[in-house]
Amino acid sequence: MSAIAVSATATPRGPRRRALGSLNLIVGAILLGIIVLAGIVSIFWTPFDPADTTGGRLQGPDGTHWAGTDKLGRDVFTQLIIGARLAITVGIGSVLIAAILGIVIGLLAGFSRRWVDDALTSLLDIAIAFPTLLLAMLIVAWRGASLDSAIIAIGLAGSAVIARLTRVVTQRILAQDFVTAARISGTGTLGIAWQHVLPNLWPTLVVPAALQFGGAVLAEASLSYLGLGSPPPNASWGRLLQEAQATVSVAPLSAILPGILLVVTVIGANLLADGLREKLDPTLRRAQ
Amino acid sequence: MSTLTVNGLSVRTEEERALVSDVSFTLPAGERLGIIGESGSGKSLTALSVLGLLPTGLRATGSIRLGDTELVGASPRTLNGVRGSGIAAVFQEPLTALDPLMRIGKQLAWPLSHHRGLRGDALKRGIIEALAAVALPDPEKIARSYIHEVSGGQRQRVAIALALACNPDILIADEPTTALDISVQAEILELLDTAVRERGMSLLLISHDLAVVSRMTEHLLVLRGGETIEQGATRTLLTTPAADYTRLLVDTARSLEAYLPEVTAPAPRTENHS
Amino acid sequence: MSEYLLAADDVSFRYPGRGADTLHGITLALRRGERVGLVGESGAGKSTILKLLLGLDSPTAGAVRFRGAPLNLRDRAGLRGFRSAVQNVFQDPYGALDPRASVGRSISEPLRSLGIERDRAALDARVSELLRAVDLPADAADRYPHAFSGGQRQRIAIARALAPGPQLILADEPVSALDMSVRTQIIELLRGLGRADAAVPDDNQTGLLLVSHDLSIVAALCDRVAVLQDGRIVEQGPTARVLADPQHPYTRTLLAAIPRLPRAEE
Repeated sequence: MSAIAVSATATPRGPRRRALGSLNLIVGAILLGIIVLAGIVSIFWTPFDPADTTGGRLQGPDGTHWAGTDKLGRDVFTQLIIGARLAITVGIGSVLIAAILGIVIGLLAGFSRRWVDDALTSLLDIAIAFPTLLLAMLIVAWRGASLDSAIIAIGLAGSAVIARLTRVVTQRILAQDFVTAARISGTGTLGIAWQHVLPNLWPTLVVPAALQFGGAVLAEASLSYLGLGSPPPNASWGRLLQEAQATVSVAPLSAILPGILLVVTVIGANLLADGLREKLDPTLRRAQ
Repeated sequence: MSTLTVNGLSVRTEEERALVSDVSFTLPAGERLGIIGESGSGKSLTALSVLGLLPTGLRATGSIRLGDTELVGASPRTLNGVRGSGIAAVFQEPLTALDPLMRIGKQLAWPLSHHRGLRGDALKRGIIEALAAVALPDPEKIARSYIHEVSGGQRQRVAIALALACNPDILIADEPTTALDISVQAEILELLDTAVRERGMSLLLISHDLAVVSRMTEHLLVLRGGETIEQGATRTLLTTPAADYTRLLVDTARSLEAYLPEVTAPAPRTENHS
Repeated sequence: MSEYLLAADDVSFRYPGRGADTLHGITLALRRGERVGLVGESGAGKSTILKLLLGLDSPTAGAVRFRGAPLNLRDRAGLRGFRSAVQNVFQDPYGALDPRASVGRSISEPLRSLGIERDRAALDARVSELLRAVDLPADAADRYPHAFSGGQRQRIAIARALAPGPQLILADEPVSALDMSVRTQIIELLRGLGRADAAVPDDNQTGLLLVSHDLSIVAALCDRVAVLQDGRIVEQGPTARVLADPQHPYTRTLLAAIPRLPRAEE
């Protein structure tokens, strides 16, 4: 008994992993922070009006146009920071949809009796197997190509993953003695869900949610690249990439920069997720 | 047969936190030593150190000698040899020592063929005998079973059979009956007692249960928080404990026992066999 | 049967999908303030009896009676009265407390959930009173379970069980997960329940149903004992009589199996 307890408290990589965890957390927060900051700045100020085409076509970067201009003469830097705002919107929006929907469905399945749980689980399996792209195309066909359509599609697709995780964790929490104790204390099902399941659920969900943030930004970029996102002048990075593709040999920067920003965002979100995992991992926390 | 000598054993974490500090004891060939302690006492880590099986990240310093072989810092090859034939172990949870996907007979086959050179029909007979030796009913059937198909007490018997199959000089039993029902515990202790006596093995028995340890061993080592509290003959420690902590343990055990009707308690083990 | 506070009346239970009953015609009745031990080994059905007596499941046959009336799990108001009268202490002090709820919240949960007390200040006062009763400092209320040892957690769990002023506490192996030196303290605490001169004096005559495999702990705490084997009660009677003169061979086996210390005077 004590051997097991001790081996858990003395995981050799414990201190090193924790240090690495905080490094991940810091670097991730910085990378993502830059993007968020750029996005927030773009709400109040951009160097040029995004629709302004007076800059001359396909100019290289100079003091006026920090990242050059595109084939219509619009300022690329302006478009990039607007893209940051859109990326953050997509990330937060779709993760919120995925989390709210996913947690509600997952809790429902986790608390339900056999057949309701079976039915919900089968539905979730189908939803997870359903291609996000196809779902997005259906929603675009219904609502038209826009950022909102992309957010809804990505959020819906993500909710199935969150729901399945929520269900498993809920069932594990419900099997614990403290839930039985709550029942004996007279706490009803809703009270148990709210007071005991949710607080014990979120540490498990924070990491996949952060991962989904990066995934969502990437998914929206793919959708935009395929023309299912919103068009310029308020275009996301995916759309910018696609627009710049034809002129990549003349003005490589307007194709490279959106790509780099995408990578920074996704890596930032993933590092943040990794860092949170190390921070929240109960076996590592017990060691402190 | 060789003596196990532990001298100044300490176990530390990577951060240099000492979980076992300067523990020393000697287990002469054919004798029995009990290590008693509560959770966090370092009793299991001491056993794992002797086996060379400390969890990664924990480091043992000091000296553990089996006969002339130094085990602290020994090569994995040396340790494997020692674990194979010098020292065998039985743990609290038999499932950790047994392969869930291999029939019980097959798990016994390897040590029997490796250590006793048994082959073919002799090996088959050896397996059945090994299972029969730990008083398992219908050993043929058990040999064909998987571990999840037998009861908790039977699992521990299988784990003991596996430990004995290597013909060890020393048997380390770490809380071997803690996970078992009380009536099964009595049987397993009886089995260990007989096996150790008949084979002339040394026994290192680790437990939190004073009554269990004192029934089985003639010497006791009391650990607390990784430090040696007291060490001596079982009877002396039980009757005239020197340390307050030992007295607390003895008094607690006695105060609970006082609620039970008097029985003719088995006489404590003494050094009459040597 | 109405003289009894809680009773299993010829109760049988079968888990869905199982071929055989786990419990066969269990009859076990507790008077107000009585302390009864239920002894048995793994698989005997101890946990199942507890589950039924706690109103967490209904028997397949027979009835669980609370103050004489069959317990109806759908009767919410009736169940609230039952819950404030019958509480539980678990075996594993690590699993029994929500790691993300402060100790104060855990202890006050029955008071809040059963609608006994809603006022914030009154709740806090009651929590400190309960903490004092189980010999823990009042500032424990703001801390979280991970800051406490196994024995301390078991005290917290006992404080929670005492919160609604129960008349009966069911305790499932309450000390078997604890270190020897802590066990006696918890046993003393449980022993004090319902005694005026005790660590937790109360005028409620709190009774105890102690479920354990350990006869010495049952002997220390209970006036009466029932021995359970394979889902049947094979022997029942005053503890002193059962221990001194066991009638059933299984009781004798259990008694003989307890490892004893060599006697001091030898």
